[in-house]
Amino acid sequence: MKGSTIRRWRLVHEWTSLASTLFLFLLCLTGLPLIFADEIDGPSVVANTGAVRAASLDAVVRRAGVVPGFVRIAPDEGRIYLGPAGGGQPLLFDAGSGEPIAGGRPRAPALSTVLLALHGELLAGIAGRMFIALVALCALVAVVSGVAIHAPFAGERPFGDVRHGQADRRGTRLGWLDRHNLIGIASATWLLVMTATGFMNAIEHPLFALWRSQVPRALPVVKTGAAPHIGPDRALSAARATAPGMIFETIIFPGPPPGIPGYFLVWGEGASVRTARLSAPVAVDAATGKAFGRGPLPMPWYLAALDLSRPLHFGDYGGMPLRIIWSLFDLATIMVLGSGLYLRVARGRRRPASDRSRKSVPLRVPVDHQEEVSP
Amino acid sequence: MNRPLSGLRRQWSWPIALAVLTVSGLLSALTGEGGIWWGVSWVALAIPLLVIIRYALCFAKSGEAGHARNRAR
Repeated sequence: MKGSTIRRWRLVHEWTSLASTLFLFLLCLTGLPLIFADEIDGPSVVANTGAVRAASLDAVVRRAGVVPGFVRIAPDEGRIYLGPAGGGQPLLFDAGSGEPIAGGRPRAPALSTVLLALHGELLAGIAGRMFIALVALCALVAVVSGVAIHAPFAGERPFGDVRHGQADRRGTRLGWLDRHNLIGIASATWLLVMTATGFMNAIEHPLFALWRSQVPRALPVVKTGAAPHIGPDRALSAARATAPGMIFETIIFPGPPPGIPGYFLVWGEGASVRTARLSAPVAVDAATGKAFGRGPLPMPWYLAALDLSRPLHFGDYGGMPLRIIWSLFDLATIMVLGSGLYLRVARGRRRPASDRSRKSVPLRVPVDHQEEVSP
Repeated sequence: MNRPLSGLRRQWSWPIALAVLTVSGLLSALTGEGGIWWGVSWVALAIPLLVIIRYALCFAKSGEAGHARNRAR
């Protein structure tokens, strides 16, 4: 690589890192406990007898007495969640009896919910999400540029060599430079996946909005505005009849987002391992109760990518050992951030290198470039 | 002809091996059917972490002393 190319990549690496480091620290610190969110929040299952859902969804909606936005059946928790139209905390019902849990009152937000709001949107809603998306993009560029300048900085030394040179400021700096390079390159792939999937998760609302703006074009126009003639029970059974191979959990009522006008959207996932991560809705005409087409709506690539981004970001798909691996990578990321910040500060206050120190520590090309870009 | 190639190989063989291990580890648990695939995933993803622990977390005496002195200054 030419000297000027290295220098350019280096500048990209420095400035994208500098722009995102503070927020990446926050994301690492909030992300660490979120890996173990299930353990922190405690068991969510209350007297789960493993019984299949028996309660009528129509009855649950009647009992709730609010305009419903969605109902979600959580078979592993033995619960039904009912989300009011227009947002707000969902109400809880027992999946067996259909009775309200805790008076059907909204559940107090769990610790992980608060952490997630901090991690995913900086407690600032959609604006926070867009900001996090920017941070993720910045971090993505920082990782790519870091990989690009890895080789010149690693120099001719064997992989894994960390210079423990002299016990002076310069020796310490070189040692941390090598550690930064080593930890960075060893976790680079995981970091790439994390920043890319983090970006996808941050823009999930715009992605769904894009899909919602396109999907009515694929569906026959139906009468909207009037109250639906069928209830969620009919919508669910119509979806099951249309796509018997799928497992359905969420029914979104016709209307404003997250719904679409005139149709129930019955969201489900494939039952096989290969399709279990990919979700798709069956659209059920709210007036006639007829499902559209011969199966779920075809999903665009960006929603399939979003579906895969979730497990790949959360690390919740391979048991406790995978979560521990996630947390160790998280700690490694904190070390990369910390050492990068230290190197930046150390470079800033460093005196111009004297000839003596140049001789004592053999320097490679990139370190000379470092002098070049030093203010 | 041989020298630059061997230099490239020395610089990139480890990073590429670790990248391949990470990708296969991430995907095997995602697409595999539990059991053995989870084990493959854990082992593959543990190797980059072991490399970090083995090489980056060893502090030589002199290095630590220097670091401590820097702090004290």
